[in-house]
Amino acid sequence: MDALYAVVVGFLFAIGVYLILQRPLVKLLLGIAVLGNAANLMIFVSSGARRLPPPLIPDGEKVVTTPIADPIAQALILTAIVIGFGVLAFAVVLVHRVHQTSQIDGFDELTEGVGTE
Amino acid sequence: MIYTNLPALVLATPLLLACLCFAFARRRRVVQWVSLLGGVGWLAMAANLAMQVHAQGTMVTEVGGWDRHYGISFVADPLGAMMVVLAAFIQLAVGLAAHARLDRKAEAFWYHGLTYCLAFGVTGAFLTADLFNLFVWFEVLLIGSFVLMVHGGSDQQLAGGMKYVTLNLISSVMFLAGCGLTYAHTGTLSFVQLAQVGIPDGPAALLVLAFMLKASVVPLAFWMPASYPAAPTYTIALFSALLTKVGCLALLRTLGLLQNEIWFTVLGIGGVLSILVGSFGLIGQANLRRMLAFSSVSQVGYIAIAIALQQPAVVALLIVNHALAKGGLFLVAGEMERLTGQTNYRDMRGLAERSPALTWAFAVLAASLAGLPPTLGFFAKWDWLSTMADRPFLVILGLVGSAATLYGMVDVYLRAFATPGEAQEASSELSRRRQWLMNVGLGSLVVAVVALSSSPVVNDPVREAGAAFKGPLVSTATEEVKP
Repeated sequence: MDALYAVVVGFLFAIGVYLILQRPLVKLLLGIAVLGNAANLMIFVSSGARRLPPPLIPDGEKVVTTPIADPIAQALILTAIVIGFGVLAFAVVLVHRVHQTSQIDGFDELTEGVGTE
Repeated sequence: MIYTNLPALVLATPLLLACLCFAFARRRRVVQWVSLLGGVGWLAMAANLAMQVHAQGTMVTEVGGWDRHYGISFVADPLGAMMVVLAAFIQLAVGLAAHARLDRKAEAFWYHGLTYCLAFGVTGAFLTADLFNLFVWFEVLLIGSFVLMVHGGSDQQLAGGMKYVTLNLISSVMFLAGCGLTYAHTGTLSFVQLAQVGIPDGPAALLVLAFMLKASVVPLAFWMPASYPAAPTYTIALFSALLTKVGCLALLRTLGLLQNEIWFTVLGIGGVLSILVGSFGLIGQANLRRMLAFSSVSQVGYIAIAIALQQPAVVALLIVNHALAKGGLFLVAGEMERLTGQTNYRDMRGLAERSPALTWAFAVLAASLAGLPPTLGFFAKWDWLSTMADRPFLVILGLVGSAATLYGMVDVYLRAFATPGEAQEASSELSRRRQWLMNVGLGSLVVAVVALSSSPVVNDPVREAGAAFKGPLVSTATEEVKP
C-alpha cells in the first residue's frame, strides 16, 4: 500500500511541477495547489497509512501499550492544509488583480518595473 | 535553562499590537499612537528579554506545560533574543519612516497592523524550537509580507508581488515536504533531538534549498532584485532588513542538524556565487533600488560563507550590520527619489546642497555597508576576513565584493549628491511633522550603526551573542532542572 501511495505522491509532484512550468498564471496557481496537496499526502503516508485506533490512553492506565495512529503527522497535515488554503486564497485574488489591472495571463509578461511612491 | 513565560510574552506583543491596529483601523490617530507606543514597548520587552538571557542563560516557554520535544515551545537563546531586539528596533525605526510617507488611504488599509503581523512571524521564527513550527512562523511572516508587497496595488507592485508570492510558495512546499520527510526518517522535529539523530540527505536537500531561496543565496536569489524594487521603499527597508535574515538564521540553525557535511560546502559555494553575482550585478544598475537589492545578494553571500564555515559570531555581526545599514539605505533611497522626482540615480543632482543631513546619513550607512573603518561594517568584514585567513581565495573574493559595493556607493555619492545642478522638483513635499518622523526614523538607524561601531572595541554584545550560539538550541537535557 505504501508503494502505491509513494507513486501517487510522485505523480502529484510531477503534475504540480508541470503545471507551474506552463505559461498561464491560472495553471501556475493550480500547480501550486497540487504541489501543496502532494506534500500533505507525503506527510500522511510517511506516518504510515494504516488503519489504527486513535491515540487515546485507556482508562486506568498511564501510557498506551497497543499500537496507535501517529497524532503528530495528522496535526502537521491539518496545520499545513489550513495554511495552504489561506495562502492559496490570497494567490487566487492576486492573480485576479494582476489580470484585471494589466490584462495579462503569462508569467513572462509581468513587467520588470520599479515602483514609485 | 530557565522556564519562564517571557519569550512567549515578547512573541505575543506584536500580535496584540496588530489586533489593536486592526480593531481601530478607522481611527487613524489611534492606530498611529498604538503602533508607535506599542513599538517602543515591544522594543523595551525584547531588550529586557535579551538582557535576562544574557545574564541568566537560555529561557524556555513550554506552551501548556508539554515537554518541549512534543509540544509547542519557544526558546530564547542569546542569538535568538538578540535577533528579536534587532527586529523590534528595525520595526520601530522603519515604522516611523512609514508614518512619514504613508498617505491616508494606505494607512486606512491596515498598513501598520500588517507590519506587526510580519513582526509576529519574524519573532516566532527567531524563537521557535522545532522544525515544523519554524515552517508555521515562516508562513505567518510570508502572508504578512505578501499583503505588504502588493499594498497600494500599482501595476509594478502586482507584477513584483506575483513573482515574490510564487517563489515563496514553491519554497514553502519544499520546506513542508522536507519537514514531513524529516519526521518520517527520525520521528522527531525538535531541534535538540534532531541534533542527536541528524537529518538524512533527502529532507536535508529540500530544507537547504528552501532556506537558500528564502535567504536569497545564488542561484536562488534572482527573485529578490526582480520583486523588491516594486514595493515602496519603507516596505522594502523592512523586508530587506528582516526577511532574508530569517532565512539566514534558519540556515544557521538547521545546517548543524544535517547528517552529511556536504551541505556546508553547497552553502559555501552558493555564498561565493552570491558575492560575485551581487557585486557585479550592483555595478551595472542605474536604479538605486535595484542596486541595493543586488547589494543585499552580495551581503547574504558573506553571511552564507560565514554560516558554512560555522562562525556564528561573524554571522551575528554581519546580520546586524546589514539589517541596519540596508534598512537605512532603502529609506535614504526613498528620500532621494522624493526630493528629486527621479528613480535613476544618474539623473539626480545636487542632493548634498539640498539636504546635508541626508548626505551624512547616506555616507555613514554606505560606509558601513561597504565595510569602511571605523564603522560596524568594517568590524564585521574584518572578522569575516580574519576567519578566512587560511583561504586566500575567499579573502580575495571578500575584498573584491567590498570594493564593488564601495564603487557603487561612491558612484551614487558622486553623481547624486556631489554633482551640483539646478534644484530638481520634489515629487512630493512632507509636512513638518512628517519630516520630523522621517528624520527620527532614519536618524535612529544611523545612530545605531554609529553606536555599535564602537562596541566591537569596547564591549561586544553582538559578537558575544553570536559566539554563545551552540548549534541546536539547548544542549543536552541533563543540566535542566524543572521547577
